[in-house]
Parts: sequence; C-alpha cells; structure tokens
Amino acid sequence: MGEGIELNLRDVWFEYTPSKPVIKGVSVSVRGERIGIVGQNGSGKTTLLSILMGFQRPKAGEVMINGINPWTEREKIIKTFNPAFEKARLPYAMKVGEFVKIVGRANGDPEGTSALADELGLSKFESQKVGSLSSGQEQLLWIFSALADSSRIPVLDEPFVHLDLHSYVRVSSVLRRRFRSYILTSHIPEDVELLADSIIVLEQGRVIWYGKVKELQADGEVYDVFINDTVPPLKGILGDFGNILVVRTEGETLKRLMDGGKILGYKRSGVRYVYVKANGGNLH
Amino acid sequence: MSTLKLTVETYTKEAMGSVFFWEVLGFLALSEAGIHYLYPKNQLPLVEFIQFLGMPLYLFLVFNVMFQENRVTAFEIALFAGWREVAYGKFITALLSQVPFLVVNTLLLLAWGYDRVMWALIAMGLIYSGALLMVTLVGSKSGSYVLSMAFLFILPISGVALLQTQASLGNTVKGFMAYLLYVLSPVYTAYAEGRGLLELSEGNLVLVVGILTAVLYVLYAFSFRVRNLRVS
Repeated sequence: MGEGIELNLRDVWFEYTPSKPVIKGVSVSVRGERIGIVGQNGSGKTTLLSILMGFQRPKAGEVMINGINPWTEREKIIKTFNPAFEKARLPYAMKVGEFVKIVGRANGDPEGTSALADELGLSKFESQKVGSLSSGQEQLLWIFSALADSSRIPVLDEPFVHLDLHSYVRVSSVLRRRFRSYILTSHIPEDVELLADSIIVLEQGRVIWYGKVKELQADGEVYDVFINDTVPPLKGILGDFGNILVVRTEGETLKRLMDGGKILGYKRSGVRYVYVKANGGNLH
Repeated sequence: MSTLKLTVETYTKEAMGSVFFWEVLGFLALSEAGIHYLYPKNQLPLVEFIQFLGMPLYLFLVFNVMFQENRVTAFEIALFAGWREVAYGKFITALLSQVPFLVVNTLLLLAWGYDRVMWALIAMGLIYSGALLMVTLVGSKSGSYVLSMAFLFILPISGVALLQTQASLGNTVKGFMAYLLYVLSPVYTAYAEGRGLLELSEGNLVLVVGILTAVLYVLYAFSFRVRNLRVS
C-alpha cells in the first residue's frame, strides 16, 4: 500500500530540558516513498519521529506530513501511519499467540496477520508470554504489529538493532514486498541506503543532508573501503570510521587492492561521505 | 467502537485474567470473613482492613497493568490506531475491574449489617479510580508506584491521624476538613461519622463525590489526549 510520503518541516525546534534543544531548527522538504532517517546515537532520530507521529509537540516550527499536522490531528496521523519505537519493553502477561490474534482483530485481517506472524517467525515462540521475551523477540513483535496493518504506512525506529541475520532478512523482505511507502530510522548507514529512496541525515539535532539516495552517491569516485587491522596503502583517505575508510580514489585501484587481499571490499560511499563533509574529515 | 471493545477486552484480560488475581480476591474475602467472625461486635477491625489493606491492595493489583512507561502507551496507541481508544479503554477497564471486589464486598457488608460502610466503599472505588487514572499519566512505572502508594496508603493513614488527633482533643471535625477526610479515606471516615467523630451531610457527600470523580475522569480523558509521550 501507500501513496508516498510528503514531509515538510520548517524550522522545527524541540527540547526535553529548557535551553537544551535536541532538535535544532530542522527544515526539510522530502517527497518520496521510502524515507530513511540516519544519524548517530543521540542525533535526534527518535525524537524527530515522535514529533512526526504526534507524540511530542515541537517547541517551535511547522510540521506537516502527508498534509497532516501531527500534533493537532493526532487521531488522523495514527490512522495513517503505524509507528513502532525502539526499546519498548512490553510488560504483558498474554502469550505471543494471543497478541497475534489481538493485532489481527485490531486491523481487521486475522488470517493475513496470522500468515505474517508465521512469515516473521513469531510462531516459533507463540506460547511464550510477551513479558518474558528476549529483546530480539520483543523487537520482532513490535515490528510485526507495525507491519501487520497494510492500510497504514509503517514507521520503524531502529528496527534492526536487536535482530539476528535471519530475522533481518525476513523483516526487510516483508517491508519491501508489502509496502510501497514507509519511514525507518537507523544509525547504520547501510540500512537506510539499501532500504530507502530518500534519506535525511541528522547530526546533533540538525539536518546535515537530505535528498534522494542517488544524489547521495553521485559525488565522484568516493568509496567506503572495508579494512582489517592494517591500513592499506591508499591515497585520498577522507575519513576514518574504524574498519571503514572513506576514500576518494578510482574503482580500479580498489579492485586491485581487494584482489591482492589488502582490503576486504568496497562500495560507493553515501552517508559516511556526508559525515566526512560535515565534520571535516574525521568523525571521532 | 469495535476497537474500543477490543481495547477494553485486552486490558480487562490483562488485569483480571490471571489466577493470581482471583487468588488475591479470594484471600481478601476470606480475610474479611475471618475478621468479622473474630470481632462480631466491633466493626472497626474490618473497616480498617478494607480501608487500609483490602481495597488499596486490590486497586493496586488492577491498576498495575495500567501503570506503564510512555513507550508502552505509544505502542498501544499505534496498535489500536487511536488515542481515544486507549484512553477510554483504560477508563472503562478501571471501572469494570472493580466490579468483582465491589460485588463480593457489597454482599458481605450487607449481610453483616455494614450499610454505611458499603456506600463509602463504592465512593472509595470511584474516587480512588479517578486519582489512579491520573497517576497512569505519569508515564513511568516507578513514578506511578510512588504516587499510587501515596494515594492508596499514605494519604488515607494521614487523614486518620488527623481525625484521631481532633477526636482526642474532644473536637468534632466539620465542614471542608470533614469532606476532605472522606475523600482521602471514605470507608474509615464513614465509620467515624457513625461514631459521631465528624459531621457530614449525605446530600453534600453525594455532591462532593460526584463532582470530584467527574472532574478527575474528565481531566484524565482530556490530559491523556493532549499529553506529550516521550518515547526516546
């Protein structure tokens, strides 16, 4: 489902503690189908998402998403979008199987919901109580509840943090297949580069870049180079992200280094290059 | 409407669906019976048990499932696709879940001739529910626990201390203070009124309880839907 997402924010400010803003004058205008918000821990991703979903009132500025003002039209926004936030410890005594049935009844599609639960692997622990699940299982549960209602646009906050590889594959597959539109946040650049068509990069409460993924990767021959312990003999290193270097060089050079076992691999740089440009070369 | 029904069903099952819940209810009823038969001529022990232990314990058990972190509330609003559904779902559940306790106690108290206390018990259920619904808005489990302990245990006992001080000085508590004491610990105050320790008019009582509960319920419904929910 989904008719796309239109996000318009103008000079949005938000603070939890007076005079300590966590969202600082954010202005973006994004029209896309799959929007990714990426940023480091504490950059304001979850706060921005909670403002977009009407859970928090911005201190200043204007917020419109698909023509809806989330704060003044809270009922409407929650009937259009289906948000799931990270770290929700669900204290319920009910079993997972019962929870699946409730979700099915809530969205009016019990059979489809049950099939989705099977597909995501929830059936394996359906007899466990929700309150006793591991963090990964719990995360899968709240992702499931956001993906089960095909009439709403899923909004996922750090959906892959606690998931194992198999669950990651299942969730991303369902996300792509069932939904034309969604919003997700992550602190991992690859998550949003692979799953979104439009990206907003946040840093310390400010937007440092936004636009289409294609535009993000269009800036010459800049690559993310994956390395072991040893820094390879490379010129043009722009940024150091530990085991990933951002390098301006030719693809042929990197291919040669990879064939020679000097580097593990490489890909065209995206979000990391944005960080490099914003921070003058080094993230640390 | 059907989502509201589902919300109520879900919360009610969470609150009353466990064996533990019914065990506690049974334990409270048996304790009351035991106290009544141990002290057949003296109503005070049973009144104190209901006011300071039975009802607070029961309400705490019921409301425990509604004392939630903001993140969980946000999860439920998303799950049931509405702020209204969650707010009213909790409200209706809060009232419904008192029915077992009130039915059991009403029957017992009527049978044992505690008519005055019985009405106060219903008033207590209404007032305390309003206060505890407001506490659910705190948005943190620990914060809700502290406040609910104050409402359920500390304030009623403070009220009684005040009443006893006045009684020991030979004073009869009247006016605003008398109604305040009733609001804080209705069952005990109703008993004390029967002993002539304070003066209350029945008409004013209905008015005070009615207005207070209405204000608390409306305030809860309004506050729930305009509050900020911190999810980060």
